[in-house]
Amino acid sequence: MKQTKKWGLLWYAKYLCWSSMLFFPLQLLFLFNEAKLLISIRRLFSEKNIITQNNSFSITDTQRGLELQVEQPSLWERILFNETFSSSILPGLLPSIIMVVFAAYMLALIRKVESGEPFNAANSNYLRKMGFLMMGYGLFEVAISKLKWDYVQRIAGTDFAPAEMFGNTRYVFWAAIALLVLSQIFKQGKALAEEQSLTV
Amino acid sequence: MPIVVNLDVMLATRKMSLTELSERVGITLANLSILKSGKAKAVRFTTLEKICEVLQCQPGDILVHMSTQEYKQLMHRG
Repeated sequence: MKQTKKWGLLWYAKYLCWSSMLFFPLQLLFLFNEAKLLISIRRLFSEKNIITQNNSFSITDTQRGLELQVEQPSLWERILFNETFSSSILPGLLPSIIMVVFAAYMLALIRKVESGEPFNAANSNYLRKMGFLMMGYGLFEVAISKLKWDYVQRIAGTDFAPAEMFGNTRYVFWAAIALLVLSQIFKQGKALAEEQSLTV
Repeated sequence: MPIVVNLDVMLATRKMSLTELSERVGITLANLSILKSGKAKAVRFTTLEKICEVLQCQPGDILVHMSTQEYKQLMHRG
């Protein structure tokens, strides 16, 4: 009974990985708000840039009820504060790529588990890579948020603190740490399995 | 590891082959070879007990502890 449950879970995990590997590239190609992404990127680098209707944008500090209005934004400002960039490309494109790599590692890991030798060097490596991938993404998100934060505070003063700028990156770091710890557990598991095989 | 397994000496004095020992002790020849060659990381008490029973000896006759220096010298000679 337990065995059936275990394989059932593995099959479900496999299904998730395959669907992620198929879905996210498709999302990159066809979705993204019905291909608006490509149009937005073209507009972003075009001189006749229309990021918002009036060629300006605003950032709000909802807690204090303050609003920062930026007129005639420069290219750098456009890239950093472009709604499509910050709400589609960053949380959309990058995690999609990461998800595909992640799913590939996960599939390789499941295959090794199915082969009956879960504790081996390859699995420990996969988990470590997945952990660092997650950590890298978290750091990237924090770096972008920090850039935005610094920029806004430089022009609007330190009182201005838009709460939404730092996302839920802490969960990404927790996941990364959990994966790195798991990788260490697998490493130790490998050593134990090796010792077990050399016990007479 | 500076623990030397004297199984080959014990077998030679009793004129017993490794295959015979493995049959009488009830462990595989492969495992016994691991023990004899010194590649084993651990020995179960049950295995040690059976070997001692068959070879009519004490655990200390099979397992000998050496200093690292002595062990290195032995390995160098071997």
